[in-house]
Amino acid sequence: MSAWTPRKIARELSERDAAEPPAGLLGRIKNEIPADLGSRLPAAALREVRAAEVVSLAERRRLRRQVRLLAASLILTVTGGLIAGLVVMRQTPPPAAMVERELAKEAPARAGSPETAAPAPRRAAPPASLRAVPAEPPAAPAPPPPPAASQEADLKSLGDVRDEAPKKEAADEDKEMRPRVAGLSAPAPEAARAVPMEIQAPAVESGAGGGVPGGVVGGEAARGDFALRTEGAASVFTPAPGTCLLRIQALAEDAEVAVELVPAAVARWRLVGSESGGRTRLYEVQLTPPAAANPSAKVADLRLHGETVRELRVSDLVGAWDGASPGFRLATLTAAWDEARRGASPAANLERILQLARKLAHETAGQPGGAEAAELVRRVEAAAKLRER
Amino acid sequence: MTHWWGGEPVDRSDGEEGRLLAALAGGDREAAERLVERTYRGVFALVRRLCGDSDLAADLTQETYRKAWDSLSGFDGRAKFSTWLCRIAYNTFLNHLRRPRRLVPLEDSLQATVADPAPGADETVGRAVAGDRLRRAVLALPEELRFLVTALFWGELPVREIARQEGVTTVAIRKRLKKALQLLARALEEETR
Repeated sequence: MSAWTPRKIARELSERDAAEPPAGLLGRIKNEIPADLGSRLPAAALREVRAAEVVSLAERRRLRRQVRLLAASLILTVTGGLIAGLVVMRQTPPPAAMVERELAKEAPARAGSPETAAPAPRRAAPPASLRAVPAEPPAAPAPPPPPAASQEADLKSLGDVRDEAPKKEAADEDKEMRPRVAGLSAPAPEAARAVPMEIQAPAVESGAGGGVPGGVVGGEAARGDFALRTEGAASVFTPAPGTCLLRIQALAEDAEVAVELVPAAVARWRLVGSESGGRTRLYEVQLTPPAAANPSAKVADLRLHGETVRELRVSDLVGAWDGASPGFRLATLTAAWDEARRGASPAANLERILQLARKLAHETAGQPGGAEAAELVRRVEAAAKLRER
Repeated sequence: MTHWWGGEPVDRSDGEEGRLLAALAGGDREAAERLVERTYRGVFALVRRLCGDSDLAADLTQETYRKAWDSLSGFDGRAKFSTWLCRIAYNTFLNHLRRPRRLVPLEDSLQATVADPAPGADETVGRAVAGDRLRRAVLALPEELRFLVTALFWGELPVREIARQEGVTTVAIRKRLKKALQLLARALEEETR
């Protein structure tokens, strides 16, 4: 026999004895039952037995109830956890879908009410990444509206400026740039809220193919049947150090472009404007001080269909605005003018926009995009005149 | 056996025993017979495990009921009737041990068990020897622990019932059980050496 352990002994002791009582034993015992047995049983014992059985039943019920409660709580916990997990999974779409949803939510409202406030700057830090994904297949760029046909619309738009601008800009000229700056530097409670802003003048993008001339930062990434173009420059509207403008263009149909910002490099960001359809987007990004001091620091990953096709670094964003492509400059000026026209950003003052737009129009006269730049100058001038009255 | 080491046996009390006792108190003889039918197998099994002999166990079982009927007025209902009966059977066996003329040498009993040289006899012998060692070790335990082991494993009584019978808590019973098993292990190990 191997070593005796308490467990083994308990097992041995628990083994049933297969021996059956011999036949006749039961009869012998029964035969010896006294006739007066009933009278020997104390009444107190009977009461005690019944009481014990009642207690036993009650204990058993209590035990059953406890087991049921335990099982129910376990089921509830597990089910609740599963449901919560499903809800979280459903309600927390990937960042790209989050931005896409915001775009879909905000776009109609903005289209209907141009007076809507400018998008609040957002922090880039808390979520691991923030993405912007075009919600719809890109639409062909709309041609610029003929000046005669758009005169009425222009007047209406300029009327908006006349009504709104004095309220917004009458305060203090020095403060014009501040809200934008302050907005970027002040804590933004709606940390990851993506609020796109439509670029009002479709002409901006029609001739804004841009490219990457003159050493202006930017580049292209091609994957199969689509291509991606990026361009960035220091913001000319927001004097805060490390504030940059970034334009991203998806050049191919069905290109799902996701911009995944690096929280360590981006303190805040906002979507300044987007082409309808969202294929072209203009972001304003405020770099963190360490990133601003490190040209090689990564700012964002650009993804197409989930695949990282390009890494944006600080050096891609901090080039001089004057050296950026005409298309980039026209897009940023148009966005700034749109904000000024709507009174959404006092920082984007008309004088500054007009100055830069005239310079651009002069540079691009007779070239692609020149007409749009001239049209922008005309509109800004009209708005400025209305304000002077 | 419905329990194992450290486990809680299933309590099969269904209120039937109380009803039978009530009927018995009312003079119903069939209730007494029914009580016997419900309990005599357990009593026999317990005594047989104690003494290791079926014929002797049958005699002791019969004697157990005789004593139970005689002392029924002492049944206080604190424990179940079957538990009370188990205690009587155990005492009956101990009384039997105190009568030398009825004592059957364990070696003789073992010889009778293993005399058949049929295939598998070695295993039978081994098991019988081991079982007999265990039985002797149980019987060598201190009284308090011996009854506990007997009632729990061979009488198949629940820990709670034994605790009620002995007037102690179930925790105390479990502690005693642990101690008993340790003593048994030590005794058996020493015997093996």
